[in-house]
Amino acid sequence: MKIALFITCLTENFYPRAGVAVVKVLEHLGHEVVFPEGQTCCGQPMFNTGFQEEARALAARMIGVFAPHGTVVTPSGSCAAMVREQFPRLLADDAEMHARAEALAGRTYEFVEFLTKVLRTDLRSMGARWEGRATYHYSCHLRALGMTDEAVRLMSQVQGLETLALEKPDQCCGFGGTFAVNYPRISGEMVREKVECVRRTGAGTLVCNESGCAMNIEGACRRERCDVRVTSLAEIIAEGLGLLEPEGAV
Amino acid sequence: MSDPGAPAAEEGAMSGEEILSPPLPYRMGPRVERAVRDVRLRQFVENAAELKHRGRVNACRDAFGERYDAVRQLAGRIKQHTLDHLDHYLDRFTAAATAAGAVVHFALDGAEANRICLGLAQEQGCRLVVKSKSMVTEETRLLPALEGAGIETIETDLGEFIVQLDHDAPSHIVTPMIHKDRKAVARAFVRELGAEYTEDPRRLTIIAREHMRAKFRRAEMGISGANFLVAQTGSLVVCTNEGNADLAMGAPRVHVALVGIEKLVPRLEDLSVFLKLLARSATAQPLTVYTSIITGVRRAGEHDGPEELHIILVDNGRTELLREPTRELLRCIRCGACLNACPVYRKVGGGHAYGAVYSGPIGAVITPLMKGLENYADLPRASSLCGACFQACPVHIDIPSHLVRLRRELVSRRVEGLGKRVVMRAWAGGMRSGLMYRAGARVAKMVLRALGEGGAQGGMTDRRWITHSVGPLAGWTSERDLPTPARVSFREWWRRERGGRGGEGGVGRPRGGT
Amino acid sequence: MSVGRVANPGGREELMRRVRAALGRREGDAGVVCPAPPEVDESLVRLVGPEEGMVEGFIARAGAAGMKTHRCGEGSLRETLANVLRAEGVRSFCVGLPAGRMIEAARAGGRDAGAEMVDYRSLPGLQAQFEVDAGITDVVAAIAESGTLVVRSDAVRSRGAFIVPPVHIAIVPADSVLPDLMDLWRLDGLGGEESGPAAPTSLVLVSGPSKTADIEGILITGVHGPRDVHVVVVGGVSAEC
Repeated sequence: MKIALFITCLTENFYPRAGVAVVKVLEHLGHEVVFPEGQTCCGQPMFNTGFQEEARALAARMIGVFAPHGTVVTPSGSCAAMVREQFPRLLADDAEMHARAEALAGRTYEFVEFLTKVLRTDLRSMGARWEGRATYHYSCHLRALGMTDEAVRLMSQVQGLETLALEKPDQCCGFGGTFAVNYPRISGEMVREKVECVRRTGAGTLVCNESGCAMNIEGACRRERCDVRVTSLAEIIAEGLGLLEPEGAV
Repeated sequence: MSDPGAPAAEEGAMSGEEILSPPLPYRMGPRVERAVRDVRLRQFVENAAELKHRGRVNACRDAFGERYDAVRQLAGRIKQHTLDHLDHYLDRFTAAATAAGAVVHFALDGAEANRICLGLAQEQGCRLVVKSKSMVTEETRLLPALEGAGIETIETDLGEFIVQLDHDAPSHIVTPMIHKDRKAVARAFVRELGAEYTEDPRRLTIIAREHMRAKFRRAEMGISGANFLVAQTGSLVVCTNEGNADLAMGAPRVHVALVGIEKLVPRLEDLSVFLKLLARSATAQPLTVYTSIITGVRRAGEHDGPEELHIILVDNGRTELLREPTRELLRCIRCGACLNACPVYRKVGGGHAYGAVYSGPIGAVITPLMKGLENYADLPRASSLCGACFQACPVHIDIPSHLVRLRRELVSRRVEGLGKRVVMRAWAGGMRSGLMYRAGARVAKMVLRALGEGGAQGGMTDRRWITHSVGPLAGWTSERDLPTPARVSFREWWRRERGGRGGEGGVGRPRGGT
Repeated sequence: MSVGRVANPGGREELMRRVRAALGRREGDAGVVCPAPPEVDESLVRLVGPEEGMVEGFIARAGAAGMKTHRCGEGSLRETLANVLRAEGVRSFCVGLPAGRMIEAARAGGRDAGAEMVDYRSLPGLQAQFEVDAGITDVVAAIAESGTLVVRSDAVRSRGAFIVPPVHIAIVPADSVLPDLMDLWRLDGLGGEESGPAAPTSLVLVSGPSKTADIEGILITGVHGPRDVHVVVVGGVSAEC
């Protein structure tokens, strides 16, 4: 299958290794990955802060950038939810654009969702092996995608990987885009609690498949002196299949 | 700032009036700050709400399993249908209720509802009123209105009673004293009832019971709200666990019910859906202990029950909400599930931080709509849009979408400051050009990495950290470190690794593959 | 039944005008036909079907809800009631029962236990019931799904018998147990029929003793209503044990 990668602006700049891992895993599974270079931002920050017109313009732009491509895969659940849930609503009053938005929404997937629901990947048969104890952060926007424990099930298929349950798994980490900056006291309390939950698992690694959450949690772990490596499931799989050298050696 | 022995709500100078009617425009900041510093209060609310949240999740899953989502959508559709034909159902209810002997009043706003109620009390020469819990009476501030007119009025729900004794305000729709511990109750009973000091919840409950039984026996009027109105039969449906509503509605000679017009459901059989969902969503029970369906007044041959039933149907802003696109908000059955699920509600020490009667996610939407968006601009903004509220809602209200819609109004009505508008528009403008975006990313990387510390561990994730900052990112770094962009961006990697095939639709060479 | 009225027709008119405006009704739309509401889909809402050992299920759920359950045959109702009254130390009680075998069993059981049966009509309103130790009622139905008793008021049943005294004893004939709340509304006399009698003045679904968890989430029973609810299931499969 030919897959267009929607990298998202945060992953592109802050967590590029997660993007690399997505590319390598998909290629390993025999798919061709393309990277439409015209892509920028899906407009989620504007949409969430009430800048509707700006979000509309970026939605229309992104629909154009991905128009020549088929299946779209992204490492971010929130950006996938933006495309799937909000693009059609944003462009509802323009019949042609709305149809194009629906079409893009219908072929856009979050990476873990794509592995589990479309490719039905079984990591056991692929011999994925990764030694360590990890816990998993459920990002809120996976709700909008109808996702629950897909990532955890994939993690259980990796030999050597022990997955430790996180307390309050359905509680937001407090990122929320500009919310983290505009309501720091509330956001700070939320992320500190998340860090404490992570700490209590005793895991050395936190699997987080959303760059915004990762920036927030990793930054708070550093501040709170919680020695946990934050990484994505794509990176664990890529490392586990020998497609990516362990961190620090790419 | 707080005595470690006493939760903030009690020792603080703020009265219930001050909590619920703050100076406008309301700013959450000070109350959030206060709650964040009061570790005890915050932990107390966090644990209580989290426990209720887990209980709800388990109760709904155990009962409905995979069907749960379809059930709440059905509940949403029934309520939506009722609201879409509210004129019809109001007429039908009025006809049935009056046929059963009720006197139906229509109140356009809270003041009028209070006026009607006070008028009835005075007409009857009431000196003592017993009242069961009702959110609409919180909204209209009925209690101060009656007390101000010299009519002794007792809140009979245990939580509301303690809130009343402390001149406090409820901080949760279902559990009004979620912010108080047993010590606070003990102190209130010593101070206000002359009781002996005890921290034993059972003995505290008995003190309240004995105090209130005497009131139930003497009261001339009972006031209730209603969880539902059944159009078909003209019935009020009132749910309590304590049974206080049955005493308040059944013992006095006159029963007055204040009810929002959105409480209608078409038929008795609809209660199957709503009662099952309400009890599980509110308190993780299969049904509330007492679900009382009250129809009309004492009939020929009946020995007891009120001789007069007055039903005051209250608008107070609801007909504004009834317009689209806000109509679905009136589906709300006040179960409190979205409050319990909400990480913000839990972190700000409960409902008082919302500065109004309705708190939590549903309050963050309806308070600005009922009391002015300019007055409560913080409420829709103070959310991470995590969606836990939508997932918890038994009538399937998409609360996050309403929060975003209110944010849009803040922009279009220019409540958002010029600075923010300029920044967001410039940001969006930059994102509309691939060239600008890439240049911006490079500049941001350079600047942020120059400001950061650490890093140099090699590899593409190699990043630095910013631990202090001023300006727009100060809010980030006050709470946690800010990662800088990585040394090598994904795009740079792609160009290097997938050499030159990186133009629009650039293709990566399939590699590996087993 | 006294006839009610609309107290302020002007207020009603204005409120209805606002409602119609919000709904986008136009002049002359007054006769808009309201379609039937969405069907209460059995396959979604029903939690217990008739096939599932209803009486046992009801007893288990009622117990889980904090009620004390007893089973007896028709012939041993008197004895069972006497035992409950004795165990609770009841010295006086009121009943909300129609003339017939149940009230006779209550009267005789009371005599056996040395408890006086007080007429709830002996004082105005609910006052008599504030003075007694227990209330004995029958039920309109019981619901297996939630362990619920359905009690009503009428000419022989007070509104207070199940709520005012500190102990409530409910007599539940086994054949009055319904599987699910959905089945309740089909019973006659509850106001559900188009041209049937009005709903009872008070129809209360009781699912446990009076409870609160307002103080630190700690469950306490007997706040305003009874601290103990005894459910006496009469008859049914294993009735004469």
